[in-house]
Amino acid sequence: MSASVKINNVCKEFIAGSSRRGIPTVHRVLDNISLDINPGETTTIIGPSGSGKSTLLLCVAGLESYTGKIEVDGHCIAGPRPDIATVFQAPHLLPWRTTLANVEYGLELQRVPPMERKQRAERLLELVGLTSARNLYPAQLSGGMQQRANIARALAVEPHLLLMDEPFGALDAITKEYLQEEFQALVARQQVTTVFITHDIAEAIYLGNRVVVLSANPGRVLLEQTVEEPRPRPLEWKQSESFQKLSARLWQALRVA
Amino acid sequence: MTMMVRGNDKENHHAMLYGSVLENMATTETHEQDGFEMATDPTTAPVRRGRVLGPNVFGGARSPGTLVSRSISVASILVVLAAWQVFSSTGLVNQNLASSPWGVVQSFRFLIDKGILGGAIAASAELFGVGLGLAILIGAFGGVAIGWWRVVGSIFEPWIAILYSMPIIALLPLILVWFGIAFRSEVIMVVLISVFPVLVGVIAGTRNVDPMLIRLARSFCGRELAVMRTVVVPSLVPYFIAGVRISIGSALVGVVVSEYFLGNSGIGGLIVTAGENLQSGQVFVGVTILAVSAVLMTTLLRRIERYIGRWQVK
Repeated sequence: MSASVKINNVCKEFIAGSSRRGIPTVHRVLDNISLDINPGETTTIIGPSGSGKSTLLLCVAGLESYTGKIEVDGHCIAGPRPDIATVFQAPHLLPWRTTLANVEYGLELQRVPPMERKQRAERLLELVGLTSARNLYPAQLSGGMQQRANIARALAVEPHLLLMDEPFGALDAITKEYLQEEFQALVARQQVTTVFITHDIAEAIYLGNRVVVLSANPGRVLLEQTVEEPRPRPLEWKQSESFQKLSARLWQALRVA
Repeated sequence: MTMMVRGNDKENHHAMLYGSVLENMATTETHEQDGFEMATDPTTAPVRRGRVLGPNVFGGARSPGTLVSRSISVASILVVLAAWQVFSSTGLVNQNLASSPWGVVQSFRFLIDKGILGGAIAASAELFGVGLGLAILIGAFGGVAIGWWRVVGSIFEPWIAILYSMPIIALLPLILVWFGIAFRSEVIMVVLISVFPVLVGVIAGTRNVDPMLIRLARSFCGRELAVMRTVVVPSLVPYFIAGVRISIGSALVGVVVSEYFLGNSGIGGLIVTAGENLQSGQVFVGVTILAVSAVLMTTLLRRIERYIGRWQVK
């Protein structure tokens, strides 16, 4: 259940200003992005703000229009697909649903029968350690727990491709590391292809089989860096020399981005 | 959370009436990023449980639950009733014009014995039920349609702005001329007076649906109807209930006005007739019934709101 992704010469432009007064200004966000993502791999995309990394993710999710070609498992992306799940930065849980019902939500929209829906959601809750919070409402959960529920909801639909848009960006440092460790182990075990957007160099290296550095205004691929370290990776690896070396290289690349 | 209420001033004003609802909603969004101590194990995580928020009957009072403030409220009513009785019995005020608590009780008995009161209540309740029911149906469905589809909004919003700003009672002679003295005219009046709070509330609610939740639903391939059912409808419920709360009051106004002018029936008719005959006690019976039913209905509605909104944990 892991998809390959081919991104070919993808461009994205926003038109700013009204056409009523002269020529509208065209703002190019993504400039000829080409990436090949292998099945089961986690690709982290890092770049300064304005590099269009979130926009790229939305294009792959089928939630934004684009020019060029994006293929997931050979299917051209022209809209949301049931085998792709997206995790946004904010948890976006439905506040009136319990944790369990929230995790079932994606399955419900994809018309999975109630019994199966519940079973799959229960299993995912266990996987992310939220079983005891199954009947709580989002307002009763901490930020970290909400984000786990968000990830569980995405994984519940058994996606072939998981798109993550800075999911740990708003969490405190300790919760973040904890979730990073759990998440990379989980994704490695489930063999799901993952595209992970971040602006955190350490997170990009720790989670990724490959790190893609984008430049800003417009977003271009500046560097593709393979991370050889096998998964699952212990958190201690972040202190190692090989990690530091990668970190220094990416830092250099981002300075000119 | 900043609540953005788009649209004209009327809507903004309306949103202000919803203060309590908006506050309730705001409190649900304050716990987003404070997950440090709870990130380890949910079983040991402290979880906030709390009373579900809800405005109380007496608007401003902050702690309705305490025995002291409750006692003061009850005492307040008793003192006024006692003073009324004393002034009236001692002849300080004209008993025929002002009546008295005891006089009201006697009028109540009289109206029941004559079999007038039951019929009046039934007539008013029917008018109220049919009128408010229609208003809620129109308000709910119309509000979602107007709030969701821009074209529908552009068509109806100017009319809503005009009608909601003007005193609907001014239309009463026209309704009388067009539809005559009949139940349907009364119903039309009640609907016209009470439809707008629900309608405007539901419109505002539909437009305030979190666009991120809609994007989320779409990312899971949710179809438009499923998005409506699972995202739009649940998130506008607080707006809907706040609208219904105001509409209940408006519908009662509508009932009384229609009965005064269009039918001389029901509780409104009873009050007018009693007033014309200088039967102050009977007027108070009618007024008391209106007041009690209004309070009962708002209390019931708050119960419902508390049950539906139990996810809004403090």
